[in-house]
Amino acid sequence: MAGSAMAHIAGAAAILVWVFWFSNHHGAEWGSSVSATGAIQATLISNAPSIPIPTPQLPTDNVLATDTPSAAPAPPPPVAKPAEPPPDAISIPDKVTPPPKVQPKPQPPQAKPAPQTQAMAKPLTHPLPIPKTTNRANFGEAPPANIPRSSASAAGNGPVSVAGDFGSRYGWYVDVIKRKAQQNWYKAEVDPKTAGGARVYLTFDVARDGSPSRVRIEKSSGSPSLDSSALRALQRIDTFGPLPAGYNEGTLNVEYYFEF
Amino acid sequence: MNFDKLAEKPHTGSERSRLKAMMGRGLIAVAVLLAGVSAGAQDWVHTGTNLGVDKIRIAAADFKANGGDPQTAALKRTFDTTLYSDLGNAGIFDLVSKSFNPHENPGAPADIHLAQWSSDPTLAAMVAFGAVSVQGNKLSVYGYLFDAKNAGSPQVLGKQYTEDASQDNARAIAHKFADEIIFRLGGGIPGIAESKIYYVCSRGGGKQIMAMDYDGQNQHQLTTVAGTALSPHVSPDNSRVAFTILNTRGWAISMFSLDLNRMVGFQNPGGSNISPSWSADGRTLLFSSSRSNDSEIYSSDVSGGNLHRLTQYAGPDVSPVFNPKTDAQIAWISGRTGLPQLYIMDANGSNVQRMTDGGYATSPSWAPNGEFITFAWNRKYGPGDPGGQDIYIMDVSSKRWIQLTHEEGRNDYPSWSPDGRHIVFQSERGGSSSIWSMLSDGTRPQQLTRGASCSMPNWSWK
Repeated sequence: MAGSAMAHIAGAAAILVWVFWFSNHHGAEWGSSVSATGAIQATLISNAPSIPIPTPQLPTDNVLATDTPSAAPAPPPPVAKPAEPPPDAISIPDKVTPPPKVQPKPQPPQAKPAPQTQAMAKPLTHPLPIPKTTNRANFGEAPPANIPRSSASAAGNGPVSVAGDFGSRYGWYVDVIKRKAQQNWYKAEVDPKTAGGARVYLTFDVARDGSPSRVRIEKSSGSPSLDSSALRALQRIDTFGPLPAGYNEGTLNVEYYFEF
Repeated sequence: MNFDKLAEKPHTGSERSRLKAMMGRGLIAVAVLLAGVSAGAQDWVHTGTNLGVDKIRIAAADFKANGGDPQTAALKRTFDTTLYSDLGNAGIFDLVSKSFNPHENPGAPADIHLAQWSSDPTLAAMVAFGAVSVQGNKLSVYGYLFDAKNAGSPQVLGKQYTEDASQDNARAIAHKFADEIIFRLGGGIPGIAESKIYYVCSRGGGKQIMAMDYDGQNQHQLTTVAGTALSPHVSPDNSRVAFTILNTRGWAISMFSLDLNRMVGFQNPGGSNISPSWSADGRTLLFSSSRSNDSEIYSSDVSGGNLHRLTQYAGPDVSPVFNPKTDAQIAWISGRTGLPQLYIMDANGSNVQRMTDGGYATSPSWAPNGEFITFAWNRKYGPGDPGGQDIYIMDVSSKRWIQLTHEEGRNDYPSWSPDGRHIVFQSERGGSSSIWSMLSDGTRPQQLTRGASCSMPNWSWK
């Protein structure tokens, strides 16, 4: 017993010695304040006051979140009706279970099924209260789970809205997307009978090298020629130019509308 | 029944008050963002057309001269002038006149007051500024591009260049910095400020191949051949220039190496061989050869081997060029129906289509994006028709065309710039033939050569 305790203490002491030894005598370390050549410089975000910090959003406890919360209250939950026997029903007499042959011992009186038949035969005058379930799904009463977002604060962006702070930090890149898509959109391809103001919403991804991919129609304009002209405009674009160097994500998601 | 109501009432009440609070938040969120449920790892940008897309208004500040080296002032002047003209030539900017710039000379990000640049009268959306210094015969330039309307994180670009101190290097650095700005703000369009133009000038009885920067600076002679050198076409990697040479032995294709600065071999097939041009992969040459007594389009490898005949009709076929986007199509000029017309075909000679419906068409050049062909065309050619020869571009898929030059003498030999936004051509406006460039919508014509008679420009691939 004493030997085991000694061995444990010796082991702990060895670890402590090792930690001290190596932490003090093992060259450069992470997080040391000594600057080395080629160190990465980090800029504190507090130096850039215009970057909107997304507010923490609690997830909604609704499992059915929707874009269009209904103003109407939830319909009442379905009331479970107890099965009522018709008034002229004749109650079936109890089946008397024959005593088991292997066990000649008489059954104890509490195992008698008589009370059950009594309840079945008698119609209930008061329905049982429905227990309140906590995990019940509600009906579209909450907005979708809020992801951090802000509107673009950089002036000159027009009605451009973004998620995250891309629009405020790289407003010039949003302008590039805008300009390039517009330049490559040939309105002559659109059927002139299309109603003015019709909009087709596209979404696409911009890779780090600036190439658009996964172009798809989010919301059709109702005019096939306008939809296809918008798709063709995006297909004509090889690149929007590489994403800004300071932007760290792999891709940028863009929603773009073409308005006839 | 009573139980039911009692159980439900407080529940609904609390739900409603929470709902109201949430809808307030939710409505703002929904207005800002329609497709909300994303991974959240990437950012979303929502934008569209008809949002007032204008040219970017950019101001180029005079750079700050740092240090006391006497060369600095002259180099800085060259740099400022070159950068200013590059940004103006790009055609994507609304360049602020320098007299509208604020009276400050920022050399570093700490020195600039963006509010002054974004307000009247400068009203710039972007500001290019920086510092030039010379130390120990080394020219070093710090260049910045700032978004004047984004005070929070204004920096779009920050660049540093160091070269030996010379006028040529000052120009080269300005070209590089301008290219970088154009590449960023133009959405990935390659800048052309570093590109070259190869052309032909009369020199001492003959004609020689010349080269210059895209803005007409730095003109110099490349070849010294006996005879007449014509129709230069530079390889995609800027290593060689193929051209036609006319001398006492007839017409032949020659090759000049820009790396070695001397002629290199090319095996001509028999007959007259003219108008060479490169494929975009740099491995194939197209040219017109009369080895079968009728000039036809041939392809060969870089040294003249591996010869293939592509056209079969009687009548002259000349000036072939590849579609540089795909290398899968060829545009050329054919006289098979009489007057020369513009045709296209697949790279193996199949699928021939006539593009022009009449007149006299010459010297096609296919746009880098593959959508357009520019060519010279006299649409009303013939006796009694005073038609001028002008530059046109044609949309290949629809065969619709636009005239770019109007009533300005004879214009010929158009050639696209690598960004597909400029065209260089030969024009006889104002007397002798000289080289001009313009934006590919016909605006901003600019004379590049003066004096000697120069012609047949070819814009390099990068």
